[in-house]
Amino acid sequence: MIRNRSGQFKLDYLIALGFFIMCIVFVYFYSMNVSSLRYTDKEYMACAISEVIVNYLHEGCEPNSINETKLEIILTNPDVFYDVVNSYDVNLTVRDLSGNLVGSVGKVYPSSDVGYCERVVFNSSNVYILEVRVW
Amino acid sequence: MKGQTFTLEAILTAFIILVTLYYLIISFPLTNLQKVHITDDVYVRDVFNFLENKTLKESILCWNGKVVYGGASADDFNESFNCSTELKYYLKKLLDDKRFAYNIYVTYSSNGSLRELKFVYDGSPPPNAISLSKIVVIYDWDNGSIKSIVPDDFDSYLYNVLYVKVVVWRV
Amino acid sequence: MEGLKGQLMLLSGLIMLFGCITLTMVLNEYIQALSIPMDISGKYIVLDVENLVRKSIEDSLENVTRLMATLNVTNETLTDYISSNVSQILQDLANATETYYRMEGRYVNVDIDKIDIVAYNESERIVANANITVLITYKDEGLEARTVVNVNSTSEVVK
Repeated sequence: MIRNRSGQFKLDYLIALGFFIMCIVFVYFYSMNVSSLRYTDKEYMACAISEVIVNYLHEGCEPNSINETKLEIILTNPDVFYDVVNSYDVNLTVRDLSGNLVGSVGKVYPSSDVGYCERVVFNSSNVYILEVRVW
Repeated sequence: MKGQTFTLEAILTAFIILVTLYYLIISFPLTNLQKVHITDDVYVRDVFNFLENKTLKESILCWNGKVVYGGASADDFNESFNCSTELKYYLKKLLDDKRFAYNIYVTYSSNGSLRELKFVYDGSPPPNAISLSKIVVIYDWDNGSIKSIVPDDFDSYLYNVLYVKVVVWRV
Repeated sequence: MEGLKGQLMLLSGLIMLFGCITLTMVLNEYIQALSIPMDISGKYIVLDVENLVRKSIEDSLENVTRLMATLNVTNETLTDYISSNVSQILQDLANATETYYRMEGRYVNVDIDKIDIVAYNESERIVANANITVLITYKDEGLEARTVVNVNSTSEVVK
């Protein structure tokens, strides 16, 4: 027969406290991750700059159709490129659908803290993927 | 009697503790929220602007009504079409390879009411999926097996107007 | 009862736990819903509809003209036929577009303002010229995006 019941009391207390602490820890970890939902400014900027580039290349009435000559101009003349994007910390890399490099203009981008935005443009014969990186 | 009460109390307490622990453990994934990229929204819109221009209408015209489960990576993609389309190639390169999953629904009008068909289906989308829609017009002079599924709802040379809804999400 | 305090503590810990997790799940849904990039401008809808109308005018003008290419009719009949058919197609398309967007909860208005079609016979071909103005409006609780689309399209079909 159990005579002393105070042992049970201490155990219940410990478990309740344990649950409460787990609660706090859980909410703490959650609130740390909420900040990851906010967009980084770099990504916004990369997408805005990509919109500028696509507008420059745009020709015709479909939204993403481009003029191929303009693309060549911007890829071979860095001055035109810097003039269009109005900033020096931008890199534009153009690939085709198989991933082959078509052209690239702009400084080499650093390995971290880079905002990235990807666009798809086409004309009557080709499809290109524009990769815009901003830092 | 007293002994039985104690045992019952102990068992119930143990049960409640286990249920709580279980509830707590299954809710830990909530702490890992998926990051939402703004670039996805823009990219998906670009992809479907391109597809609308190139292959969407032709592919839908020669669709035979069989749902493509699994998107462009499905082995039996070509069985749903009566002609060869570039849709599979473009969807694969532009969406599947970038780890997107997508559902495409086609809605048509029939005698005043609207019917929705699944065109490509990849599962139930999560709540933060990107959704956009395009309108594809079929005229009386277009030919294709879609005409056996979709009726001629207009007296004019317009055959039917399809509302193509696309839902895309990252996996 | 022995151990009452402990059991009450256990119960309160439990209730706190359930409350915390429920609150977290509710907040989670709320934050996820807020972070979906929602396009409030309707700009893309107006562009899409404009594109649709342009393409439709070109397609229907060319194909309806082609249907008349084999027959030999007067210029007046030609103009009447092409004009009435293209107008009907455009009006049906406008109605269907409005219905579909309304299904999504968006108010779009496609108003065909003016249709001017002139078609005539030449020795080896039929030429049809269309000058069509369409008003596209998107309304959303105080926001209004509008564009006036003027399409001038010519279609020449060899007989």
